[in-house]
Amino acid sequence: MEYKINSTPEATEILLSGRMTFSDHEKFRNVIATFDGQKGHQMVFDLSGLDFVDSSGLGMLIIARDIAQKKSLTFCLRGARDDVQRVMKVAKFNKMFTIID
Amino acid sequence: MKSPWLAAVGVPGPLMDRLATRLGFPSIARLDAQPPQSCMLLLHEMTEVALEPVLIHPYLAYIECRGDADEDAVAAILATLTADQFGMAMSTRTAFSLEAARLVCDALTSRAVLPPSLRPAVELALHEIVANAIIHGNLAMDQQFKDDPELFGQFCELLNERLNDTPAGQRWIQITANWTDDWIKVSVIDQGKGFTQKPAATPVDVEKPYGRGLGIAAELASAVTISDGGRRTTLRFDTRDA
Amino acid sequence: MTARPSPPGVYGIDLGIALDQRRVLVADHSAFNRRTLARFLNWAGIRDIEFAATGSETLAKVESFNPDLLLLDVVLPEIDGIEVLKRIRQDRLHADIPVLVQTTLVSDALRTLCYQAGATDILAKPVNPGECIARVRYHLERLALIQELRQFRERIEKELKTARDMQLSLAPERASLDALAQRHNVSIDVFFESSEEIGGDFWSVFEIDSEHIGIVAADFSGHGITAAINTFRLHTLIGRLAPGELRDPGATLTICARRLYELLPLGQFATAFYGVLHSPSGELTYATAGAPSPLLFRQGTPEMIDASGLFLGVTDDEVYPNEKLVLEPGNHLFLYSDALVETRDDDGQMLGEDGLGEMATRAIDVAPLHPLGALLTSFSARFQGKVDDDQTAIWIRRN
Repeated sequence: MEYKINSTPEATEILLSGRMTFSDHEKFRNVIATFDGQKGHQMVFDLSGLDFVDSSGLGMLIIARDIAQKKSLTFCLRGARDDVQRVMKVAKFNKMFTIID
Repeated sequence: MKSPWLAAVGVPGPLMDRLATRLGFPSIARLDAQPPQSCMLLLHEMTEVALEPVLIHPYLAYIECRGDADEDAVAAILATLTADQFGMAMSTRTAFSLEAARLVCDALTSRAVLPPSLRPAVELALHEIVANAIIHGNLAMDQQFKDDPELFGQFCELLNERLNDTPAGQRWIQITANWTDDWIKVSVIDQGKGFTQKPAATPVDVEKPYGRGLGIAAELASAVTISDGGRRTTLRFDTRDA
Repeated sequence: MTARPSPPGVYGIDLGIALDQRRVLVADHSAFNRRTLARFLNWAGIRDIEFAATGSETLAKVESFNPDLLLLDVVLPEIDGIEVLKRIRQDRLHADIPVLVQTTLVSDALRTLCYQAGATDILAKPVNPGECIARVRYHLERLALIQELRQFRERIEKELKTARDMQLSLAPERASLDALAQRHNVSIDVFFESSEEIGGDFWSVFEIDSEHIGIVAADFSGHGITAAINTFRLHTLIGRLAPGELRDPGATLTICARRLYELLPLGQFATAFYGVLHSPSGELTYATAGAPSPLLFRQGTPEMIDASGLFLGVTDDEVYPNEKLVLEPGNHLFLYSDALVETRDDDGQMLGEDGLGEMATRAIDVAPLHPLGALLTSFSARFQGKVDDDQTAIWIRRN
């Protein structure tokens, strides 16, 4: 997995790409470390560059959401496609996440 | 059963000879483009770069064998793999850095075993089982990660520590495949403690950040069987209509 | 839940051409490879597969199984793959079959050798499924398209042949023409040939009554089907005219010009000569619409008859006047289409009216009663294979 972070005063956009799997815990830790901002600041995960995500990857997204909630940041996902979209559907992610597309 | 041949890439000659003698396998020194029928390949470096060119040849199995390898362990793995139509065996650390599921699927596709239509399902399901075998099996990461940056950080550190600095990282992960015209079975075998309680029978709590892997695999496979005290998970996929 | 099927066309673009009726022969010495390739072919939707393990078996199976495609390994016992390929290419019956050669050695020299022997394509061994399926599908689909095209062509050829027969039947038959000539004491010889299966030239010689025969030669713009349809139109128009109208060439062309103007799309038109011969007196009344000048042979030198006039089909208010001349016994009238004067020989020279006149004069010397044959012989001696337009020639001699 690769990631890129773009920050503006209103929102932080995190672009993930490649394969997001159990071997990316360490990298994801760095991503989570950037979670910060005023109340209501938006954390946007752009998944359009992701080719593959496994259950650990899904778990990490849930963790990210929960951490954002604790810090009173809003959290949303966007851009999932193909296999990634399919797995998210199997995991019923639409019920747990704000998905904007 | 007739003994398979033994071939190697980058493995020291004496080590190779000892293994061959011990198992009674004939060995071949030089690798031709087309290996003999039923031949196992030992690889000093089990990386994608090393595997990709040899995976398309019909070797019976691919086994990681570093110069400092535990000979007894390698010999034991080689002996068990003779029972399968396809096998791959490597250390936990290697499995962690390798896209093992993808590579196994490449191999099965090029052997005309895995139809392209079934491939996404097999690859994802196998990936989940391999992940379980690594994280929960061999590395025994019982502690689930939590929605707290601190605790998540601890989880990552423990994972890295076990992967690199303990015998856990040296335990074997074995992936095997067998097939007929009607089905493919892929198994993942680890050397962890195993587990006794029956997982996945209860519906997965969708809100939890963990515990999804087996559920996803079960959703994609025709059948999931867990045996050997939780150390072996077998996925069956029906191929007749694929 | 079962696995979702992957999106269609995982390997190559699926043109929607079904491959399940296609026969594929797999020639490979290794049983493992034969099995593997067969599975790949199954994945591509191919069911009818046979196998050969040796060179001679391959040749026999090509004969008995008549495959649509052959997957051929270079290394085969008995007769090697290259030799098998050469023999298949020499066999007229199977020379077109797509042959995909599989080889482990992919040096440029060997590839060249394969292509020289007649390989359609080369697959590097070990064959990977994506490439194999995509290439097999490509070649089979190409074959299907070629076969479809061939069938379409055969159908069109058949229909054009029918159309040609129909067009030829517009003109009078030789026997009735001879009978007519005899009744009116003239000789009539005709040559008619289209540059394509059907063409835009139209001619006819017909009896109006016991003393009058009509002679028509028309040339529609263009060649091929469009021009040919117009000849049918003109034939119908003339057939509808009453004898009184037909005895008056000017009136006939005036009517035809008007009708064709209504019928023909813009840009299509015809040149025409229409003459009526009063056979007892030899008086020829004629009207013309931009036709090549007919040649008249009375004494010695040929005379060119002015056949100018507005083309038929370009306007609806042209009135075509009648002209008259007299054919004495022994006089000749020669009508022809422009191909005879405008075709260029090897040196790029055209015959022209004068050249044609000279050629015709010599033909009369050789064969005074039926000079057309002699004329065409000398014409084709110079212009053989050069004519790319419809040709019509009508020769009439008053006896």
